[in-house]
Amino acid sequence: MMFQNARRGPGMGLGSGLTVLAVLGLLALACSSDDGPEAAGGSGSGGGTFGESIVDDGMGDSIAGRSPEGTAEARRLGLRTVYFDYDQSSLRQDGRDTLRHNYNVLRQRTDVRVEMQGNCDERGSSEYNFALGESRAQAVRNYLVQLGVPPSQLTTVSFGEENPSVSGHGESAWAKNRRVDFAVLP
Amino acid sequence: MRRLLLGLLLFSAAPAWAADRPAVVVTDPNARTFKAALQRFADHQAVPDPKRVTALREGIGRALVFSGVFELIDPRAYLGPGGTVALDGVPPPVCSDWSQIGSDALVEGMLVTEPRGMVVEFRIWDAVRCKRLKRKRYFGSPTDVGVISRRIADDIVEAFTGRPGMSSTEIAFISDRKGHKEVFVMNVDGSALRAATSNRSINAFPAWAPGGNEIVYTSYRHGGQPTLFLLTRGRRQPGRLLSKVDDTAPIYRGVFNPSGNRLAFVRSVNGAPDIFTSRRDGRSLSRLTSHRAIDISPAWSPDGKRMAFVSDRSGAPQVYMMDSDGENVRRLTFNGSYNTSPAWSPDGAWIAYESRVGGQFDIWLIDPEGRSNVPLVTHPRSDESPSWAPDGRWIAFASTRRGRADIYTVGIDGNNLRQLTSGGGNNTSPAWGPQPGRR
Repeated sequence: MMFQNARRGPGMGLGSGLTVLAVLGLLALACSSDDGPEAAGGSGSGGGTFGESIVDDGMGDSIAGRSPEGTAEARRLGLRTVYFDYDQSSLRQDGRDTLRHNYNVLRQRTDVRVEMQGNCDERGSSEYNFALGESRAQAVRNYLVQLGVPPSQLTTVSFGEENPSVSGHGESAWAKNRRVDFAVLP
Repeated sequence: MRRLLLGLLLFSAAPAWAADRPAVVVTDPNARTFKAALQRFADHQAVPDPKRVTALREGIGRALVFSGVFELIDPRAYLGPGGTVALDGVPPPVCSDWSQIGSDALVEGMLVTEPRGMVVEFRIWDAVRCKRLKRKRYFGSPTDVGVISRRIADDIVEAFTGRPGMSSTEIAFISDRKGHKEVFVMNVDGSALRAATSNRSINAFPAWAPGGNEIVYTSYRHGGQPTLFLLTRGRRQPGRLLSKVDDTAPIYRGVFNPSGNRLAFVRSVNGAPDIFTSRRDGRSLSRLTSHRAIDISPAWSPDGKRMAFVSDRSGAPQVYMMDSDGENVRRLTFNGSYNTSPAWSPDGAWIAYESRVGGQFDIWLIDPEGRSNVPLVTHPRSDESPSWAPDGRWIAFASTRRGRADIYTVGIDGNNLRQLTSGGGNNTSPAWGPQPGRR
């Protein structure tokens, strides 16, 4: 059997708001027990809550700090979204066609820098989908570089399965979510 | 304390995927349930409060049953006194009074008012061996009766099984119930659900530091690429991690090692995710994998010497093992073409992971040598992201079995499926927190 010696209460000194009132002052008293006394106060089981202050950090309802204008601008320029097969990051023929079109757009506009945003459908490990989204964005980037777009014009990011363009849980929604979007960087 | 859990494997005879419940595949030969008699604690408070005493007894009882380890004996069956008179200066309990009615545990206790607040002191007896196992006291405000009763129940479980119960633990997870993917925390019964982040960005992959006072998570809160942040109990602003890693590559899925002084994480260099470890501030950076393929999902062994991870170097994602310095890489899973999200059990005996079966995902257990590989949770809808309770008896996971994703827990014997979240968006990526106050 394991007995533990006196230890510090879990939440002591970490309280916030009302929790501070509950936790402060719960200092250990002398005690003849087998185990040292423990403070068990605070909200939640460990004493003290987790929580960010709710501040408007300017992200509003944009996706991960991206302004919606970048996506709109890419659309206005005629940069099209590239779609992928399930669990794949290799380009399909329609994807290569789309990218040749996008290359022609970018060739005319060497002044713009674009971000290629890799996305996945909701199935599978969200962590693997982060990585798969990266691979998709990389595949798009590499193809454009191969076609002749200067690498300095291109950046990539993955949103994994976290930013679906269509909600829903069937193949028609999934097919629209397995994609690389373009956004013009400010 | 290292306990050999799960020695015996029983394979489910029924086609488990047909049932709306987990497959019963693993039983613990040492797992048995105990019976507890809870005396009504003596009320020595400055202002006696019978309701508080009742609430404490009921709270301990509920938490004991919730642990899955104890059953309660009806006080009407007691041969001995139903209430504690005092813990000192009185004769010890007559053990046969308690063992005769089938009780393994007898719990006595009292409530006292001290200058700094309410004190609950209690004593646990093994009624069969007539042995005092533990005496302990908790401080708190009178509103902490719920917290204290769960802590006491977990102590009772520890006295009889060697591992504390899990009723006072918390689960962190990701929910989009407020429109954005934020980190939330709830008690292990689903109560006291609250937001831990509210940055309206994308937040992912919460994981606890060993002491239970910190949660590392991945966030886009600064725009640009994702990176790691640290939530600390009681602090309103998240802390930065890896500040000495000076580049703009995406970094995600941080996990603390068992001693809490190093992080393993995924860092993508030129689009190829690899696994790194470093100190919290990014110093002493070590690259564990350097493969063109995807290497993600680091999961420490409980002794910190090894790591499970996911790689698609074979062409499809599979679970691999390596030493925590990146040496001795070997593939662990071979069944199926999609095995991800490894999680090491607290006793080191099992790695839980998610496996694609047909078009959906189930949760399986495999031992670190790859000899036994058994399904734990199977369902026609997807079950994903397993996370172990610190007592090693339970697993939390996310499932779409009722439509939207919700967090569930299930005993490792496949019983006691519990739905913790409901009615609020998608709830995913559960991370079961440690026992409070223990490292």
